[in-house]
Amino acid sequence: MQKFLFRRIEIWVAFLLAIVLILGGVGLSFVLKKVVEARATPFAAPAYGRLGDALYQIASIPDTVRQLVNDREPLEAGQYKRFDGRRGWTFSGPATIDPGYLLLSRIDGDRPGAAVELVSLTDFTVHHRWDLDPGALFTDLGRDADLSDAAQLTPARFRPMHPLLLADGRLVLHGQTSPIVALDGCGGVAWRTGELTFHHSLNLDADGNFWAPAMMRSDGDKTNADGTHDALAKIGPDGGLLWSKTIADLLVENDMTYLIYHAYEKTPDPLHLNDIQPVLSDGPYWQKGDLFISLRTPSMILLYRPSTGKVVWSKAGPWIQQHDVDVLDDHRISVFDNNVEDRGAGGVITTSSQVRIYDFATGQITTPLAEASAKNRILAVNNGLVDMTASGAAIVEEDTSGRLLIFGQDGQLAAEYINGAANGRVYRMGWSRYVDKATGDAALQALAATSCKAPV
Amino acid sequence: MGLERFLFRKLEVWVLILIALIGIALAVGFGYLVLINARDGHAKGRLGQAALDIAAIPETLKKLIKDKDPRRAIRSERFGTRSGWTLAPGAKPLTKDGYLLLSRISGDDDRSVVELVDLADFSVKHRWLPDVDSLLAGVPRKSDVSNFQGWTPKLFHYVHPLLLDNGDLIVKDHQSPLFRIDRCGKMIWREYKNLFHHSTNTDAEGNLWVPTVIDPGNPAYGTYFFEDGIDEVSPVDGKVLFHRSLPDLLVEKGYEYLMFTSGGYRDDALHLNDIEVAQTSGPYWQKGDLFLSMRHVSMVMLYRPSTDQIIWAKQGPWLAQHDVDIVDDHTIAVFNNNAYDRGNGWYVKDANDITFYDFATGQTRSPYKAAMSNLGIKTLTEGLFDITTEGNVIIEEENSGRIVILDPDGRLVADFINRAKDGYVYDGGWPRYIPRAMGDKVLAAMAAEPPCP
Repeated sequence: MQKFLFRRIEIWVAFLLAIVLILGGVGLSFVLKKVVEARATPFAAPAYGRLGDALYQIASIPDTVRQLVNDREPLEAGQYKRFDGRRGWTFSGPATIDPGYLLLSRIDGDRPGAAVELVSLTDFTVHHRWDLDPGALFTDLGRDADLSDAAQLTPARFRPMHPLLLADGRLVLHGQTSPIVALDGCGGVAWRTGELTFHHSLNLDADGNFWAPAMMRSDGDKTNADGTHDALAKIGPDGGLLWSKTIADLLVENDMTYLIYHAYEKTPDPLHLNDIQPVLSDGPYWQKGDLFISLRTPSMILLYRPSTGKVVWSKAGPWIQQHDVDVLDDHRISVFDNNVEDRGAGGVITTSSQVRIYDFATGQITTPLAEASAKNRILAVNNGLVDMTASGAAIVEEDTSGRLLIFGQDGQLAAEYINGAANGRVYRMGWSRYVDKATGDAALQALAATSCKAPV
Repeated sequence: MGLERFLFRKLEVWVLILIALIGIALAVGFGYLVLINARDGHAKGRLGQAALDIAAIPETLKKLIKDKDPRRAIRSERFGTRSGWTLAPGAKPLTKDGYLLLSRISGDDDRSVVELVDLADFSVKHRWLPDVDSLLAGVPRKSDVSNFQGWTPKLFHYVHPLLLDNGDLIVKDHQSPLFRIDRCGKMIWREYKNLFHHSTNTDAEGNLWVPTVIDPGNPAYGTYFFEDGIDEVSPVDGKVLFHRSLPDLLVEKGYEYLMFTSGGYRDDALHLNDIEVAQTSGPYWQKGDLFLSMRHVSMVMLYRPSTDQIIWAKQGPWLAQHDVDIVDDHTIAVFNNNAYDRGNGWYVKDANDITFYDFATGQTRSPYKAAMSNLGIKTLTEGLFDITTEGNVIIEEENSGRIVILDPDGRLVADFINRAKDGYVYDGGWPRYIPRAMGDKVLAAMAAEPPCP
């Protein structure tokens, strides 16, 4: 070796090598530029195959090193230093909020792993807890397994999305993205969907069917750059797929093609369906069975009538990037307005995420928690929701910061939950949900009646 | 001798390996520079620009070797060898309609020209050939958003010229100063505080309304954001009489979601391409109101500058439209490009359309749909229409260098193929219909002046 290292070669050989390397470098940089441009262009085909991927990875070494140095867990929340180390529940008013319950969906940093807890809103004690093991829940991803995001179904990355507690004690949930699973009273899998994959919200209609945003494979037209379509899916009480429809078809049939198939300045995720809220009873502005649909990218809420295939009403803005639309009474809906703008430097919330109320009778929008939201700076850069309780309180989940806030009837902050762990870190939430007293009590009774050898 | 001695000097292999290792580290650094600068399409600083320029050397060489004229029209093979104006078989000459202010790339002249064409016999009554170099002399060419590649005598394009009573023209290109030139092409004034683009239209008082790009724009919208402006300019001296940032307007009026949706940031979020001024008041708008066409959100908006209010807005059914015109006191018509992208690239679905929207009924209709489909009118970008005093429809298929004239029932009356002697068809440039009375008046005014030098 030493002999080799101290061999002497003429300088012209080194020059020749240098020229070849420089020319090669220009060629490779050209390939890299094309690869980067293709990756940055929605719907563009990947460039230069394995060579392109390899060059991209090599050029990304500085970024990779930075990520390794920045020791952050996959489901650690962001922007939580402002909570000054607070953890768990803090009350700024009377502790009793509502006779019902909160189905608290969160990453338990102490376990560590995903957990769902049924918390009494009377005394904030945990009445039941489900510790979730994605390995056991998703042993079979069904026939559309390639649509599910298997990387997110590991213990370190699994986040339960919008779990739903039924009066018989079953807990129904999905991941982001995964099949929907129903857990029995002992935490075992009662059923699991076998088609499509699901994400974001999960809601019940008046007939006991489930509605969840789904992903469908695209064989021709693409609405999303990854070759999938956003879709509405109706799942029966036993997990069977009863009906589905792509949002693209729905929009084209309703002369709203401009939202998806418009040429120029195309975005990779032009719709981003994130909530389907079935209407449970008729009213002057909607009918039982109608669906309120939230599309994040165009900041649009649609009222869609599956029985006729018509979009009955739609409104884009003033909410921006909203999640979660709920029916409040026979003429009002609430919208969780993330209020996130991207002016070229990523998502920014200049004031606070907000709860907006739209009144169909007047066409007016009100923001009842404006002051309290600004004071408490709700920074839901994505996800997030609001649930109104029977007693008039508003439960707001700030998922990305690992926080849940409950505002009383007076619009003031009554309780705050920070999903902190003993290690000082705060972890993400998973779309918690208000559970009315009747459903919660019935579910607890059913759960108490089950005899399990060893709860999961 | 010294160089030879140097080249044949010897160095030890470990020195070469050390240099190679440093070279590899530098190559990774260089690759990272290419990566971060190519990722959002904009170079950051001189170093970033240099990295992108080096990486683009093979492309630059390819362009130099191929050198295709960017002014040539696309999809023109279907016109065979046809050239110039053709009256359709059996069609009656357009004796009453008037004139066409025809802006086009003239392949024979190797430049953009403006001509006043008599539609009765398609003869050219006047030509304007302003000197591009003298028009643009001294105008700054530094910007993060504007593009100056077209600022050459060959590439400069007189987009949507406007004819004044005395034969003067208001001209501009996309992203250029606005000029008033006389009948001989001599500049009378120019305005370039902000650069102008797309349509040029007038209000009832004769003032000009033209889209601008605010440059530099509001830094809050991003360095490279194309901030469209709505500008009113005096035709007398080029003075800006009214200016409003369209993004500012939309932010203030609750339409922010159109531009700054998270995860969907786009430098050219709106793409204002027409400002059409209401000349009279009606049940749905007032004199002085502006219809704004925004291509990238497929939206037509009715804006009232006098009160700074957005009165009405509609997205679709038009897609990536250009050119909104007022038809009567309750109807507008929109040149609907029908430009789709279903994830596999841009295309025109079937054909362009002229979509009429009736404010009284809220309904749309497309009376020329079949005719435009049969004729295969498919301009992906740009394109416009004008309806003549006799009810005929003049349609420009800009990308293909063709103009088509239909009668009120959609039958073909005449067409124009902008072919040069070299056999190639060249781009159009947003022609404009001139009613006969006005055209005659202008020609008389020009005839009364001494000949151009």
